[in-house]
Amino acid sequence: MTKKDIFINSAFRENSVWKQILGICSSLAVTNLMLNSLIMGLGVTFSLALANFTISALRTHTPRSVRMMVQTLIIAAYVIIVDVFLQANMPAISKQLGPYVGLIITNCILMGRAEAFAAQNNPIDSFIDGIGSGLGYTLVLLTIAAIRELFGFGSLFGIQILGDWWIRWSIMVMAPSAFFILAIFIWIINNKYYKVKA
Amino acid sequence: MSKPFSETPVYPVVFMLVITVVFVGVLAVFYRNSMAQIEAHKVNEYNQLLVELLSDTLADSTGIDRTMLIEQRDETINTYIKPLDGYSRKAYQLIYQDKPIAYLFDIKGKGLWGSMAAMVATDPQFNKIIDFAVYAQMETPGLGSRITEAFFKEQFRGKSAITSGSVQNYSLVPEGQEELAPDQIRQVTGATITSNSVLKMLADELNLLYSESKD
Repeated sequence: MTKKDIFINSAFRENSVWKQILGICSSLAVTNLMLNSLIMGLGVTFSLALANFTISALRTHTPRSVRMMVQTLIIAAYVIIVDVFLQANMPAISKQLGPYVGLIITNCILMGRAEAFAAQNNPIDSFIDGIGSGLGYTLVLLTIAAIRELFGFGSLFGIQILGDWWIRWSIMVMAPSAFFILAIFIWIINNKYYKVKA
Repeated sequence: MSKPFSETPVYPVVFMLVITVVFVGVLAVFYRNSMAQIEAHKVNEYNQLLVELLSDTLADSTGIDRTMLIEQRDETINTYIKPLDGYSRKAYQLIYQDKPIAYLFDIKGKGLWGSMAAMVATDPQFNKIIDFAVYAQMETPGLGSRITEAFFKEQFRGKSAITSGSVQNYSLVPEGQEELAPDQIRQVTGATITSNSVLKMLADELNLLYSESKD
């Protein structure tokens, strides 16, 4: 498989959220604002790419009996770096994202890609897979967030798009809206792209 | 012939140990380098809240615009806010024309999942709560953590603090219901224990501070 194929596969064809239904919890939790979603997505992409690279680089030396502990440790280390970076440089966003940054550690996408890809492929391919999976995840987050923020706040990335005439849909700001938007989004993708019949 | 080291039972233990030491070391260095910045942000945030809670009272007394007092935060603190001694909690007094016009206390209590910290501003006689805000908490995100939202904290503005020598007891009403009596507070839906914890923290700490003010 070429590097381009690896990227397209992990970002689109085998997208972690709409195809593998992974990382759903955070997809629902942080998507009320586009900026939060973008930062969360970039945090996951950074952690995923570097964790994949490191896990792959160590794969031939890692004993099978402790490989999952090693993977968790490596993932946790990169996630803590993201968390500390946000606390130091983007305190407002760090506060808004709250515990969800720390919870990237438990995001199934990271362990899933570590086991399914990084543990069996070379470091460069694993890095590209991590970037692809992370950006695919970010794409889903931003799509949901765009709908929620636009209808809920009348803005995109905090820039007011809809005027004062717009009556804000408070349901969009609340968690349940993420459930049905994500479900509709997955349904559309499955129906159009994968031709899955209900 | 002896087995290579990588096939011995001790290898996984040594490998795990080395990996742990390396990554913990990297994290320790990274955190150490970022610590000063994180602390500076925390101090800024604390001072911002301090000024915000006292700004209405100060604006009323001085006639200076509230927004300006908040924007010029450090100058406001240096000019009008002084530490207040004699209390077991961190305390500040708002001074105007050499007289204290408000007190602010840094109070602590227990929440559902861990400790919480808040600031409460009162008049110097402890008759009235001027303003109140929880600034640190470990409550459930989206539920208990909503005690930091404006709808919840703003309810405490102007409420009685100490009446007839004892603390005012507040009761909770559902979030969607209007308060029918002055001692009622609209709770956070789905977070009754957290809402009660805030009331308990406020009552316990105001009692303590009031008794210390009499000593």
